[in-house]
Amino acid sequence: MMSFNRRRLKNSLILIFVSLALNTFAMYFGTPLYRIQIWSGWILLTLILLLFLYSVRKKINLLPIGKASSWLQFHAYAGLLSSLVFLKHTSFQLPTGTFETLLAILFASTALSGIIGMIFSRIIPLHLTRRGEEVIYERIPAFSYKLKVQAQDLVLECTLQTNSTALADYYQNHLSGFFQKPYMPLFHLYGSMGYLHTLEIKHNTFCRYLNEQENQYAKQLFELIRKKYDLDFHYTLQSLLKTWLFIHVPLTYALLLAMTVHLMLIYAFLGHLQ
Amino acid sequence: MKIQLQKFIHKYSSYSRPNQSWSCGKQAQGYQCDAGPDAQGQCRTQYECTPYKKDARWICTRNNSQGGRCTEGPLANGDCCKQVVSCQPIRSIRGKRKLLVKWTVFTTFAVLIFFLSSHLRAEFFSPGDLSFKHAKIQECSTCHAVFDTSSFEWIKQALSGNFLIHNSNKCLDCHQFGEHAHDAHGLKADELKQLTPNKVKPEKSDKKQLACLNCHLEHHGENTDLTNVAKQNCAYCHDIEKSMTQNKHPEFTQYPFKQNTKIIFDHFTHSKKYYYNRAGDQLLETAPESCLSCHKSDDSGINMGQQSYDNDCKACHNEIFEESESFIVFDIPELAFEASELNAQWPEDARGTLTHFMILLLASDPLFTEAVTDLEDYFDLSELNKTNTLKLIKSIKNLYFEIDNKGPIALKQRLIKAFNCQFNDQGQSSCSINETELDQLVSLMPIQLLCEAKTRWFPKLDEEYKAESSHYCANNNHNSESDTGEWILEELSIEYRPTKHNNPLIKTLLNLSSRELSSALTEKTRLELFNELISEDASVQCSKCHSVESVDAKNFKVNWPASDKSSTQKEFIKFRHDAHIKYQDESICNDCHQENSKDGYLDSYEDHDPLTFESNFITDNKACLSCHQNSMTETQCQTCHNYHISPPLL
Repeated sequence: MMSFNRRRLKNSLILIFVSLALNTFAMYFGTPLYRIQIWSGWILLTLILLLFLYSVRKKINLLPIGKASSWLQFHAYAGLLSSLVFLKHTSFQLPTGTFETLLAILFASTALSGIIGMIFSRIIPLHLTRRGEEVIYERIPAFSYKLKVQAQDLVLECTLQTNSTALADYYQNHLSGFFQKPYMPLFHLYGSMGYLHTLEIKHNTFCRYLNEQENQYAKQLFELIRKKYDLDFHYTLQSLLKTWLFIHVPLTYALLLAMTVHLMLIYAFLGHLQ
Repeated sequence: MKIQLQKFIHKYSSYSRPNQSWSCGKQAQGYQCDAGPDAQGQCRTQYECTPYKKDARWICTRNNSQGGRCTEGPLANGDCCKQVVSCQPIRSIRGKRKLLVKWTVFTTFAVLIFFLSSHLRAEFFSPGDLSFKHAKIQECSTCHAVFDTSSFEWIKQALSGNFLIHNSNKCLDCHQFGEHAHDAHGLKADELKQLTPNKVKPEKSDKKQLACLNCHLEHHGENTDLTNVAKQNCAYCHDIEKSMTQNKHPEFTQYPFKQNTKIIFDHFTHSKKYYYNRAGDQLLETAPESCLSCHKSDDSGINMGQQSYDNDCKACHNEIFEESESFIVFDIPELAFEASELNAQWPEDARGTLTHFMILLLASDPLFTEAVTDLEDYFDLSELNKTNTLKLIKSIKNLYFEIDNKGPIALKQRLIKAFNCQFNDQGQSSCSINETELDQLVSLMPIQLLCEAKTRWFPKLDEEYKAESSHYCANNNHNSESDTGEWILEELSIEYRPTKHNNPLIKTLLNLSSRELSSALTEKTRLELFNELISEDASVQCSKCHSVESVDAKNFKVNWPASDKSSTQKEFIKFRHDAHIKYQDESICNDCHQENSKDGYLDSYEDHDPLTFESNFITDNKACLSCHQNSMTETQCQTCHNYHISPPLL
């Protein structure tokens, strides 16, 4: 199996080679008489359709049309290539018309969201494996709920066993919100442990006033707090992995529609090359 | 205490369907059912399990993740005993994304349809502002015929397979480049091939038409220079890729041009002999101080023409006209027989000859042609016998009689016949002479003097012709229209003396006699006339300054203007003299026009071949390259070359 670095090097070299080949082709055969705009436009359209096919491939699991991971590799590098072709297509200039500006913004946003998504998918999993338990994103709300129930059960048991409501009051006043929903997402975006430390200091300060039996329960409660904090971290980062697609995918469809109209306008008002 | 939240053992792990649009509403509480919601997002679960029957017993099938088999077991009818409250399914992540995609597609589609069908479509779909040269165009349909139609027509047009050329035809409504507008350089292929031999890549030599849009793309803002065309466009047909790669101009193979100047003017004889002596002392008050004293750029800034004869030459050369000698146009030829021998009325002391102009006038008379047909030497009248002499006398008398009766019309009719010409109502000619020239020549003839000469030389002519006195001359006072020369009636001849430059009679005679005539008799005569007019013995030798070019073996062209380029005419190569000399010292002319040490300037005109030329100056391409070579990357082809070599007419 090819190592990640080797694969990246190979694909990058292919990308550079194809870019240079296309540029050479454009210089010697495509540039005269504004053929470059037409040809680069068609190359761009082909690339975008190929990029779009990736989402189709993901929906078709039965047909033997290559591994999804291979398609993803192609999607990533073809996306970068399409950005270069796009720059050539616009002659490295900003468009001047309203519709063409809109089209350019659509392409740029789609490409940029794709690049950001690619960066997320490279960086975030590394952070996720380093901290906490690996959990499925869709199950996080259930696990969060489970932790909340465990915490509440623990506090109730403590109250019953120690005849003291100190821990229960502490939970009610300071922790019920924390267990209720994902907490402090901005801290988790930066991977910060700051809020956990704050909770820990507050918890330790509170524990000084508890008896030994209550302290046992308090220790267990803090383990649940730590678990919940890690779970929130996973939820925040995995949300990032999911949400960039909320920009990339809808924009792709809008881009395809706008491109179709652009193509129609070009051939209606400019015509075919001789 | 180690807390593990997720168990991947199938018995304890619930069945998730993240690829479906809906999720169980109780998922967040960890009570997610196995069946899950349906595709419409409806909960379809009523019981915790669906029991199965084994050996007449109903067995609970509740999943281990939900607690395993229940203690109560199924009811007797096989229903699960644990009825569940239906949930309100929630959209999964994918479901939310799908919904967003649907709304995005719908919104985009709606926006596009709205603008395609609304009156705002011009503003919305316009690719940008027009260049300032087209800024006055308000309606898109001025250039795009399809614009005013519906969006469906746009789609049809897009699918129609029309070429760029089709859409460029609208440009020609305003920009007229002739019937070959879409051919390369706007020229017919054959014409282009003649003008640019071996300049085009062989595979492109028979190419195809070009659309305006191939080079000029609009809608890129008001400051766009539509004439700024990439070098690559030229390279499509012209073999300049190598030069482009090396950042060099292709070799100059036909520069400087080897074509003589229209006006014969030996710069260095004038400057070193007449204007200044070898010591540099000025000999003439009117001597020019620099090149720019005589040469000024025209309106286009391209041509550096001379100013005029009056400005540049008259001061020294007007004595040619002031002291010119007259030459005989009409004469009474000396005959081999005395008039008494012939028994004909003829001036006794006639000692003249048949002038060339008279021969042209007489050539249409059959009597004249009969009389001179057998002459071996060119109009040696001493060879004529009596009969032919009488015919000649008769034909000359016919000429004077006709002039007396019809006036200038007689001359015109005779010349038309002599030149074997016919003119239609539009003034188009069947020969090399045009009617305007002929009318001008006739208008310059001294009809009054000819009538007077007829009376003096042939006093009994009317009696001979038994004519009534309805003469033209008696009823008209016809004077020559020209003030640039004078007609003189001598005893037995009529002479003409040009007194000023730009003499229309001499010019017209030279122009008429420079072209081949179909009749052998007149052809020889017109050639003799032409040679006489350009010879050193001529009364005024126009050809001393105005060069004569041989168009072919029998046709010539006298170069009257100093340049035959008009200020609007475009050639393949353009050189803006004004741009190069502006803000420069006057000596900059010498950078490109250096003195040619070789003599032979005047000699190069003798064969009348315009391509045999030894210029006063030498020029090499280093003069261009010294400035332009290093900036080839910035310099476009059209800096020095024109694509459209005929001027666009708006």
